[in-house]
Amino acid sequence: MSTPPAIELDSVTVGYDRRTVCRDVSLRIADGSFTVFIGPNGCGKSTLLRTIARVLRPSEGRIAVLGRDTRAYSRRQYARTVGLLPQGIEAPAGMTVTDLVLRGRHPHRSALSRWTSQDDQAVTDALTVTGTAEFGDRVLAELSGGQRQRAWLAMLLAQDTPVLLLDEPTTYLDIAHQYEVLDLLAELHASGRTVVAVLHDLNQAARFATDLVVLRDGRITETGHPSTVLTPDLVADVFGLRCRIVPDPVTGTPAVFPEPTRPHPSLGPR
Amino acid sequence: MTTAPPLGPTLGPTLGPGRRTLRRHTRRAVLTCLVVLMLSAGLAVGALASGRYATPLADLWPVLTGGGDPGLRFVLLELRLPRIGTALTVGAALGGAGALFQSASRNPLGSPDIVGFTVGAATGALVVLLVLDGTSLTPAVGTALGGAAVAATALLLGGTGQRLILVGIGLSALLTSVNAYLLTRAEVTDAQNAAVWLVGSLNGSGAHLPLLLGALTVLLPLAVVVARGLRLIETGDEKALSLGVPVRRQRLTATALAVALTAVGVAGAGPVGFVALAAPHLARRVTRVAAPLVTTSAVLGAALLLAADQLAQRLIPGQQLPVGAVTGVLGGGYLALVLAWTWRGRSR
Repeated sequence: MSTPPAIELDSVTVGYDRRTVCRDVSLRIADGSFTVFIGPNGCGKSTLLRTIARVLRPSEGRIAVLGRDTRAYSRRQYARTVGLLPQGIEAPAGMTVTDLVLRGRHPHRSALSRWTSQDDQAVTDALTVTGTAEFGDRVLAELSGGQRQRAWLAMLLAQDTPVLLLDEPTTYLDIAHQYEVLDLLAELHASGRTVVAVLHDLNQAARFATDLVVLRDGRITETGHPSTVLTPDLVADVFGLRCRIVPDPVTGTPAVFPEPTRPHPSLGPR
Repeated sequence: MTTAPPLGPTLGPTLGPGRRTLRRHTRRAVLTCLVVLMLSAGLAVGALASGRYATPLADLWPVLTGGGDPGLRFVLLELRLPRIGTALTVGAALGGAGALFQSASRNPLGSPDIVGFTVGAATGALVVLLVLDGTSLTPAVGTALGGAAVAATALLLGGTGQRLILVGIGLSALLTSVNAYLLTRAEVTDAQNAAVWLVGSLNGSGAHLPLLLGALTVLLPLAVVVARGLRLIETGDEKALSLGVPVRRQRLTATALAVALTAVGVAGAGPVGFVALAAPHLARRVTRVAAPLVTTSAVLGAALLLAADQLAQRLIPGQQLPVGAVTGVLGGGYLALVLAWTWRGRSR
């Protein structure tokens, strides 16, 4: 084995207060992969992502990132290695895009150090890559949902981490902006980063992921390449949805088409 | 450790948007502080020169340099100057506390008034004045201790953030009835005396100025340091944690410092309302920077309280209003306007 996996979970159990959400989860996420977590609501995919981000602490098991136990990292070291875009995030009133993005440099700065040209470069690059430079001086609240999400992505990029975690990064965006965000993630993946995202849309997951992780009731039921993982049986089993799966006419990746359901008998003809 | 490859085109050693933004923020903050400090200085000179015995500006200088008429010396140095100093100190303490509270709770309405500090301070004053007869402890200590005790209880029960504010509202409701009960049991003169403490007043203040000023010079720089970490908490707990910020510890430290600063303010002038709420709001509006602006808020709070106290002394000729009444009316009106304006903008 040459390179260690980007992320390795070893029998991880985690939850909130006394409610266990994920039990005994083991998983390897390959370095340089674009891994997508899918599963029905409440299956524990966000919980798992937040645990990898060290926002939640597992009650049992251990997690290693780039071959090193997460507990061996200092806060600052970890923040330089793993970045997280949380779900449904809101910025304080009056904050501009650049102001937000430069805060992403926090783990690279010490309490007394001045703003370096390296910090400046990272912020400039993050703004450029996400296409947010042109409205860098505008207040976040004035922007469209898609622009705002790109600003948050820019903040994440300014953090300059080899591993990126994204919790439903396309929620609340219209379809064009969803693909804009996903294309950007694909670009970041192509540039060598490990991208791990929670997505709801199975077709998007199948199209962008190199690896799918299917969760149900806090356990992993399947992992692998979308074309082998995504089958009508799995969708019926995990999501309770009868569907047909056909190769996407554009990309050839599996695409999910739900079967029409018969109307309920109580809804008789009018 | 693998490092991510560079992204996008790299630019030359020009001034990046990050540094430009930081410079602009610093410039605005420094400029705002300078302007407000100059305004405060002007106000202070005006306050020193005016009063029941108007003093020509020309007579001020000899007194300040150690000479002048003894009677005038007494009025200026023993009466007016300590009062001005207390107004500035208390205002700065409350302004700084407000900035910390708002950032730590991620709530623009987070302020010592709202976590029950003010009502607790009132209870402290009432207990000292009415139950302990005000002999062993001065009401100033009572108010500071009462407020701090309630805020600490709110912290223990409510933790941080939104829940802290809700618990504060609950505790305030509880103590308001305790205060009302204490007042019904009191002698009329005692009750009247206590009522002034409940509003917050600078009348006859100044005795504790060195102590207050000492506390402020220790606490305010600490607050500035703590506020640096709070900047990241403003983007949300999860985001801050992922950036390596010890969120719980930072927030506890900030709230504890805010409580201490409020105690300084309340010990000096009683529970003066709305300065802690309005100063950070104004600071944000003027500097157009989204960050806990401790220094700017403190400077603005000092100017606000001094101005309010001057207004309180001459709004009704021949009568000195408690400064808390003025800040209450001005601050309450400001809050109502801001909220109405903000919400109208939001529903559009």
